[in-house]
Amino acid sequence: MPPVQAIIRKELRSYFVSPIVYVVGGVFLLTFGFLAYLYIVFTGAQAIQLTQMQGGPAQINLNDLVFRNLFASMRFVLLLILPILTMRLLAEERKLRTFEFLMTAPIRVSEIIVGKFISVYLVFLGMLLLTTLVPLTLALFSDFDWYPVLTGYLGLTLLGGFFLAVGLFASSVTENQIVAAFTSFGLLLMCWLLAGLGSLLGDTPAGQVVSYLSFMEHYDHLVRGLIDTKDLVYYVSGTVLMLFLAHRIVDASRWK
Amino acid sequence: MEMTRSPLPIGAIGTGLAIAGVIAYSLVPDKLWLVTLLEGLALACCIWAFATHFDQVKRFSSQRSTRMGANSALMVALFLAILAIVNFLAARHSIRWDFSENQNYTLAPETYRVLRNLTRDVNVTVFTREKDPGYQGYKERFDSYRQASPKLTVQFIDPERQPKVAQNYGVTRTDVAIFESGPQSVRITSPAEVEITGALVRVSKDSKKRVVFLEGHGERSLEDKDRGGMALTKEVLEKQGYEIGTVTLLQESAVPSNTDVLVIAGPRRAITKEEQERIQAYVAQGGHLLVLLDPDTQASMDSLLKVWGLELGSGVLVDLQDRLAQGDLTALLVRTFTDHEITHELTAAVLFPLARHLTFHEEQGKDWDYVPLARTSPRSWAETDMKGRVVSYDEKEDVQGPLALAAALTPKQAPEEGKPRPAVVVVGNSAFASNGFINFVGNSDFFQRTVGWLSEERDLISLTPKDPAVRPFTPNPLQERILLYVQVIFLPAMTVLCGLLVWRKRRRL
Repeated sequence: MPPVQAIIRKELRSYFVSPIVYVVGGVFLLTFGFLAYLYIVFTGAQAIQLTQMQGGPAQINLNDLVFRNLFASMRFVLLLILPILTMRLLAEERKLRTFEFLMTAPIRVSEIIVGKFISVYLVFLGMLLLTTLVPLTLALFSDFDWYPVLTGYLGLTLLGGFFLAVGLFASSVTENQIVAAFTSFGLLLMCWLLAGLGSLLGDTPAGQVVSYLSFMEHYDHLVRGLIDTKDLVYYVSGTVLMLFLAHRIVDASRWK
Repeated sequence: MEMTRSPLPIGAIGTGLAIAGVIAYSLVPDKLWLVTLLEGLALACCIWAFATHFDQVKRFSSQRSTRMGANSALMVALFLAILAIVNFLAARHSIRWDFSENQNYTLAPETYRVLRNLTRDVNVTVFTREKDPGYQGYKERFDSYRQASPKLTVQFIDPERQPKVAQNYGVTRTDVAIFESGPQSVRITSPAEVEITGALVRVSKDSKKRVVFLEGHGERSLEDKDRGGMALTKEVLEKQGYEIGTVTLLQESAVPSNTDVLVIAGPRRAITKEEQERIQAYVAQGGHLLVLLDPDTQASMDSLLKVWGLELGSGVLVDLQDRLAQGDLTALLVRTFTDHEITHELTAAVLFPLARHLTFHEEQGKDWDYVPLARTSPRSWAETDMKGRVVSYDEKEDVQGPLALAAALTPKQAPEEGKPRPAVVVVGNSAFASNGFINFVGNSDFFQRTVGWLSEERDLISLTPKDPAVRPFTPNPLQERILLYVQVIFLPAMTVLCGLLVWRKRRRL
């Protein structure tokens, strides 16, 4: 069995025998479903209000009032939940002293990092797949456009990948899982707040660069139904950078 | 007892002094002596530390871990540089696929044509704040425009943070975009595509659109700076990039041929038959006419309006619902608009003090497309007897609302190849466009858009506004319960149940 595959198998097995994945998955699905339910129920009341307001941009549809809001809210949920999924990835190995085994095993650091990342990403994608039951049940009773929903899911997939890579990096710098979770949470929060700093700097080159570094606008495009290659490049490069940094940290422990 | 003297951490002190110097510079940049002193001391400390610990430094730099660390740092820096370049290139040359429900990010083919034919650079300065309603619209639209043409540069200015710039441009409100190109300058107040593309067409041409006001019948004067005059309105139009002129049709045998829009703004005395014929001839040849008529006018334009199937109702409009909060029943604050290029994305209500209504006769105006632009509320009527303070609806004499008080007309048949298409807009009020009311946001938007719509070469910019996607959904109680069970209870419960099963199984092992 190729080393990456072996690592993925081992990681997935340890995920599914520990309660973490079920608790995180349960909370994630509950939040997703509950938010969707609230937005749907409020939409009815909102639609009536908006029809009464003449002249305003009256976009009364599930895409605008439910899915866009739902996907926008989910980025905050991911920010809270994904660090818990990733916190044990490398920190636990260090804590349990199995890290030395990994380092001395005939396996490359890059294979360890990629294997761990893919395993946690698969868990996340599995959770995301279960949430599709929400639009599917809604489609039974109502009419909405599927394309923005699909691009929203693409946004969640890319955002999730980036968040998990940040979590993996945070888990590589410490042997304490709580510290790892808080580090990734803090890093992601900073990345979020860069959007605020960007708008504070305004339409200057510095402001544009800072805004670009935040994931907010890139995610917003996808949620609104726009696939732009620059947003895809942003997420892929952000994820790759974090994995590369994690690789450097793990590699450094060989010669330190 | 012998005391061991620990050496002074001179390197750490040096680093601390260096940082203190930077902080001092950021706090009091004018006290350069202090910064120089701190940095000088820091340098001295570092040199001292380097000299006294030379062996240690030498040992450290020759260590394997130092070399590996430097190597690693270099790799990270290189990797960062590569990613920065990739992202820079991706941002500059991105490709987009618009899957949004209303194609919000896709411009109309006409807009692409206008952008392709831009002969010179256009600079746009947008005055908007993040909290303003137009902010997102401007951002998204100009993103698409910039993507489509390298000739367009767009700058966003927050008028609160940069009041000087706003003052220089004479901007007094937000959500304003100013287009500048060569000698031309045009300003718009809405991020609608039809507005932006229209502004691009106007700003990129050397000749200005000419708006001509009819004179000689007690119309509101362009020189009058009082509340009832139109000096301010003239200024508003000039800022929009129009050239303003006047015409007296009693002296001239026809409306001048370079007139893009002819405006009849609140005439009080009769317009002669000959004059009306000249106006009719102007429209028939593809002219664009804007007529603003107040309830008490003696302009006697009925026969001219009849040509297009229009008739002005008698009486004054009163509205119990859509009116100014502190004003009387005739101070209409109209907020019901038909979706038309003029009224599309019009967000503010329009204040019409003392207005009259319009009716359209299908038979007479069979060759014309009639669009009532603005309407009163269902709780309104045309009051024929304004004597006495208390007005009330009289079934016999008054006309029950909702009533149209502004309308746009275009011929049903397309004009011959190369000929302009006529257009007429009639509003049952002229005061809304006078000095006293033009600063009201809704009023200036409505007036500017009307003149803009009339002056554009509409065959070039026949952008149809995108319909808002209206698909409301209100779940019935059964659907609501199904959604609750499936989304909120079933999925999370199944996950937790799986977790419990695994936990029990592992406990038994």
